[in-house]
Amino acid sequence: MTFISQKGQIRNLYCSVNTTALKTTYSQTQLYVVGSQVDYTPPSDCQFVEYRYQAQASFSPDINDLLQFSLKKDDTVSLNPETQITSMTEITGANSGWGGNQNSQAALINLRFTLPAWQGTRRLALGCQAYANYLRCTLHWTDQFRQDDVDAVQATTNSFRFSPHLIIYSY
Amino acid sequence: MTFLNTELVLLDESTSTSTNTSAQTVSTTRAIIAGSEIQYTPDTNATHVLYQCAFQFANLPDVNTHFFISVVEKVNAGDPWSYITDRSFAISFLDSSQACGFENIEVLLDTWSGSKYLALYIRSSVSSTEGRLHQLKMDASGFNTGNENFVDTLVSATSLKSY
Repeated sequence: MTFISQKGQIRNLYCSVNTTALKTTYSQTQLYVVGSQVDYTPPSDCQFVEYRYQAQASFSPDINDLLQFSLKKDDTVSLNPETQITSMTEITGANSGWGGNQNSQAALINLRFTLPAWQGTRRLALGCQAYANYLRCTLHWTDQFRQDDVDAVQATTNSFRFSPHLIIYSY
Repeated sequence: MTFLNTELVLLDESTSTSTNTSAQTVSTTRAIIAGSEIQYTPDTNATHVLYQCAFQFANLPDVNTHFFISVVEKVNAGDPWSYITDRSFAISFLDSSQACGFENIEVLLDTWSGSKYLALYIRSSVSSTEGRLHQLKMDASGFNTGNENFVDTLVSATSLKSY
């Protein structure tokens, strides 16, 4: 919950809310996570870069679910994560998993990675896939959410979504 | 809970803690999470506001938990709450999970001018996925008997300046 800035210096903060994310189901094929892309240049006198991404996750369509996230980089700043996420380089240690057996869970996922600072501009983006095709999950969709307390049947529409956000800064 | 050492990019922050002395039932009737409300005026140079709220939940009375939570807003204290578009989400643990947990909710919002109230609405999906907030059970005697422990609700709003 806490932002802790070493030596009192949070620098080059960038944040954004993505309003175009749609209900996306992830299977064993790795796909780009909408709203996770950023081209970022740390200040030269900073040691670390903090990368945060938040999204709604839901067990749907499988009761058992296991999502795997990988933060990836492209120092050429030329690859398009939407179509070339598998060509980007995985950052060692910058991975995360979410899921459970017979758990049917939904949650706001808050990914947080602390990276050694680098020189120049680097493109970052998240890839996501299910551990297996029977452990699929969905992002950005608020499962059966409704904004009134009347009609639960109508709540399954795909338009009920949660906009993900990205926060990145150096210190 | 807080941003520390604010400099040019972290412009302002308001934080409060609410002491809870009883559980809040989560039913199919929507209600504001006790302690989640905050009145905040963003810094004029901010581009975004990060709303954060932390609270405890538990599954009882049902073994399954399925909550719907929405960030809501209003300008004046007496106004009705309004939903913020696409800022609603779900927390669920089904299949008899009997879950409990301490949620740290943070939602990034575009900034606004003037004062505004923010809070979290919560309800259960159906009557079989109800639960309770703010209460921990510290012994085996069951809720509301024996050693109870109530958990504070933490809320904050922070002005951020993105480049």
